[in-house]
Amino acid sequence: MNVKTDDYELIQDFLSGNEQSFNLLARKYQEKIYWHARRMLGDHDDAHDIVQQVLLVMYNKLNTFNFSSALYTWIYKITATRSLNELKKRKLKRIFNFSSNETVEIKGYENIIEGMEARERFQKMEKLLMKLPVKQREVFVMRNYDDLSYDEISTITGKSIGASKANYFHAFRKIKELMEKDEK
Amino acid sequence: MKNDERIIKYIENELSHEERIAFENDLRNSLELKAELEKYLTAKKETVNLKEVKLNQEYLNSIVPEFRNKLEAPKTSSIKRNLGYAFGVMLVFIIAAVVLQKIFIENTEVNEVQQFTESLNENQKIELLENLNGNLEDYLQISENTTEMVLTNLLQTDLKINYEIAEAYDINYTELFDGLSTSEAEKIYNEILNKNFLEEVKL
Repeated sequence: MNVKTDDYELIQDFLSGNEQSFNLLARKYQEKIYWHARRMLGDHDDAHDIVQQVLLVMYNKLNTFNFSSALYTWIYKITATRSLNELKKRKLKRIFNFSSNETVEIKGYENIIEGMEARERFQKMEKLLMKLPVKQREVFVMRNYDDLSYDEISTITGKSIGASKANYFHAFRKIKELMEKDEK
Repeated sequence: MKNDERIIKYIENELSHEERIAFENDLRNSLELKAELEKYLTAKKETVNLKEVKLNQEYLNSIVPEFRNKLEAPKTSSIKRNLGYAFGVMLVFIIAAVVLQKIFIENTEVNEVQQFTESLNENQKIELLENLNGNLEDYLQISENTTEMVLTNLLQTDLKINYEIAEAYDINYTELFDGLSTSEAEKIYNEILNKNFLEEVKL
């Protein structure tokens, strides 16, 4: 069987009614969506919700995708917006005193991440990431983990390349300082 | 260019050829710079290494089936949904009434909104929040963007803070507000506004 992997072909196939092609697209991008959301939100449940939400948007809106940008840029844009909305909701919850925790509790199904050592290192870094201001965290995650260029980050976030670079610079410096502090 | 900036640009390969050569020369002559570079490289390494972390395959395999189940699941009963909306609308009306009452009756000390929200159970709170989210999202987006833009511009012109730095540090009205008491935040914000206003009048 000829397995289609090219995004364009998969989208066309899905839009022609082949649901299996959507499943292939979903499997191709699900992990990237999860990690971006997880690193932004510091929580497995919320990241899992974002994955489901983004898949739903993809399913309903792929017919409007016009290939003017790469599919992954489009998906990251949806994921980033949804993650920021989730953070706004948390803020709103705090304003209404629905959640008394000032800081985000790091939780999640621990065995979601393979390997105990990797899990521990990830959790340590996740705590540091949560200490960054949202805009810095977003650029830091996109640059270091999603491997996006400043150009792509700028397209996704709607900020200038200069602003993205400045955010990255301050995030990197802060992470270094936090790591130093952690070691002491 | 400060050392931190040079180091990060060096690691990210963003220095020009000349800047790179100058930086490497400085590295040879400065143990302090070398030590600082090592710290950044360690942080970078630790960060990048975590890209190798893998998700449990069983979990990954469950994502698409769960999505398909949700997609194929019949919509929840319209009666239940309509009742939910009705309840939500009712709550929004009550909140609006309480807030309006608070505005018009200034001497009332009791915090009705807080009392009201505290009297709700967890499900009612979530429902209220979802309804409020729907109604307030546009308003929040507009108001937050406006104040952020206005304040960033003021910081740039009045306090000589670089726009990109102000943005990078996520300096906006709400953030300032979080760290200060209401009166302190208002005082500072008004001072900035007044200062800018006077300068504009002089021009």
